[in-house]
Amino acid sequence: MTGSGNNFYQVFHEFQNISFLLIASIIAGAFLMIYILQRLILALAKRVPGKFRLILPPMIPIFRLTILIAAFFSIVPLIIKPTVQNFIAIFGAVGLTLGFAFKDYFSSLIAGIVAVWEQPYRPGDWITVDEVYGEVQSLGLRSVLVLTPDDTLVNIPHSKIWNSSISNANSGKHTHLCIADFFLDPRHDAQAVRRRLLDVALTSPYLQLDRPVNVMVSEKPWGTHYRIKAYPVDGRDEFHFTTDLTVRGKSALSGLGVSHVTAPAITLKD
Amino acid sequence: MKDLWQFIPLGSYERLSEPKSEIARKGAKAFMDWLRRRKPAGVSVDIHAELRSIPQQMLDTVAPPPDWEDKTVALHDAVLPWINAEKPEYTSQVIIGAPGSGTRQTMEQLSLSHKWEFIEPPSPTEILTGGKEWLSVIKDSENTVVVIPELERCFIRHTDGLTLVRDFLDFVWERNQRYIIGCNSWAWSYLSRVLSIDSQFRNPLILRPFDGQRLEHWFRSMAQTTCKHTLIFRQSDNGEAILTVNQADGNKKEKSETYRDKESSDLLKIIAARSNGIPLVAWAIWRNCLQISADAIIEDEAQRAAKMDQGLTIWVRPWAQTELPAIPHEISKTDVFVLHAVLLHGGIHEDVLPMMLSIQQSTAVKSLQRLLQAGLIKEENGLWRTTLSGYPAVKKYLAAEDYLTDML
Repeated sequence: MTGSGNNFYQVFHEFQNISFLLIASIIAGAFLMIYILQRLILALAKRVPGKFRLILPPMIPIFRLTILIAAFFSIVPLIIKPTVQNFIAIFGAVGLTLGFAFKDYFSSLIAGIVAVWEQPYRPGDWITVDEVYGEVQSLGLRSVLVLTPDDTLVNIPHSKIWNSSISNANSGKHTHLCIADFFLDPRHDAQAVRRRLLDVALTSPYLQLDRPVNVMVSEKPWGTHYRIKAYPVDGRDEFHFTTDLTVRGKSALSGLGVSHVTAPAITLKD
Repeated sequence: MKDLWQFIPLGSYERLSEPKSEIARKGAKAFMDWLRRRKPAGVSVDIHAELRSIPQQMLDTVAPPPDWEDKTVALHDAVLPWINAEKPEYTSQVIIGAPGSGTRQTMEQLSLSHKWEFIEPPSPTEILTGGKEWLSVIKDSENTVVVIPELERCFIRHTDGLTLVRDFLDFVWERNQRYIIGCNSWAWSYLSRVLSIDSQFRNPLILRPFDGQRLEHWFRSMAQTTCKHTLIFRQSDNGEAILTVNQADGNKKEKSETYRDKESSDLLKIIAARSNGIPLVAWAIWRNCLQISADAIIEDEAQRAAKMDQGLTIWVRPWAQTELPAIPHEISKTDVFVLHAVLLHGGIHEDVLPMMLSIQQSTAVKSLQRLLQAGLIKEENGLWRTTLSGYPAVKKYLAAEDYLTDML
């Protein structure tokens, strides 16, 4: 017992030889560097033109992870005698203990590292995870912060990437597909309605004209379902864009004398 | 010798680039601004022209407003083979013009001189109600050539605003008459995306952009027509002679439609690049450069260079000190939409904006006032247009924000 206890202590440097000041400086330096880099990148992202604004923020978690790893590997040799056996022993013991106690937390941390490299989402992306839809505000080591259309911030742990499907609407691009729905009484000239809705989209000031615009039509038991599919110039305008399409679409359709189907009919699901 | 005014196929159009020294200066300035946490120049409009050293009358003498006579001749030469052809490949000739390239004026002069039918654009109300009467005027015309100078004002970016231009394009396609159609470069981009107009008219012509050499010759020939003195335009910081208007040559003036190859000054190259080679925009910037403030310091080096001048020395502001309108820091989405709409239609009525952008009349008015204050737009005959000197900033901003711009 005493022997194994001695072996355990042999892994570490003598207490009086450990430079706690240096360790504290490394930790403080690492967090200071992260803070400065984060501010610098965010300031730069605000100054670059709109179409480049999504390029810079995704670099933040990469830099943060790199700095933290560098800090970690700078600190470990200051505490542990740097031999292979020592590293295996100490990481094994710590890993086993913490793994049981903070299984989910560490799962999220590991998933956070995977998320940095695989990039299933980046700041500025519009994602859906377990029915939560919103814009990615920032990536932490443990979780991703999402702002929903209702202006609510939702913290989603990265570990969701292990077992949930993640829908990403724009995947790092400046814009993403938006859809405006119209549910109409089936007794109408579909050609005329489709043409009209196409014009509604093509004349919206929010429209990104370099991306395709489509009006999809499908017949349902309760009526005819029209979907305008188009991209706004700026993905952040998604709700203004779909509102604009809906308002002007309704006005244009009323000019054609087409009536909308009402709620009781819609409740009969597809 | 080359022709000063030249119409070229759109496919041959080449963008002008700034001199490397200016690109480096701009990069260094942007970096320094960023280090000092200073935002790029915001609103800086020359609204105090009366405080400048050059009175308006003098300005109009040394840099007078252009006439479009030479450009009209060039346009005539460009369309003549097509007009004279017995069986031309196509019945319509599109002339694309950037804002400030004087396309309408040129087409009007050309129509007048040949007695071609010149069709003014329809009113916004006519456009929104289908414009049958306007179309019937074109349909009923028996003139051999019909000129429609402003296609950009034959549609409105509104659900009801595309019908007329669609009908017009269908009609033109079917007829055998000759049509010369003028179209703003921004409207051309929009209609190409929305109505595939570029596949219907495959041979549009556009004015060759004015590079530094062309600008030098053009500015000189304009000054020669109005000024009786020899003029030496010198940069106020280093005394470099930008342009010399020698009245000894005034009587045997070079034909203004031709010019000799000669390296122009960096300032004129920068003006050419910044104006995108658009003559009127370059002219507005040039006039701005001549408006040195009354208390501006003329460097010793420049004054020494000017001592030898045998004529009137006109000081020109160096490019780094030029004050052109800029996009305000706190520009709203509505302001951006208004600017885009103004460019797309080559000018827009105030009453049309609320309907186009689904905004209140008061919101539209406030937005127009903000943009007017910033020197980016102005009202001319009831139409709001971008100012010539504000155009480069507006275009640069819209392009950076990923809005549809012209292809130039």
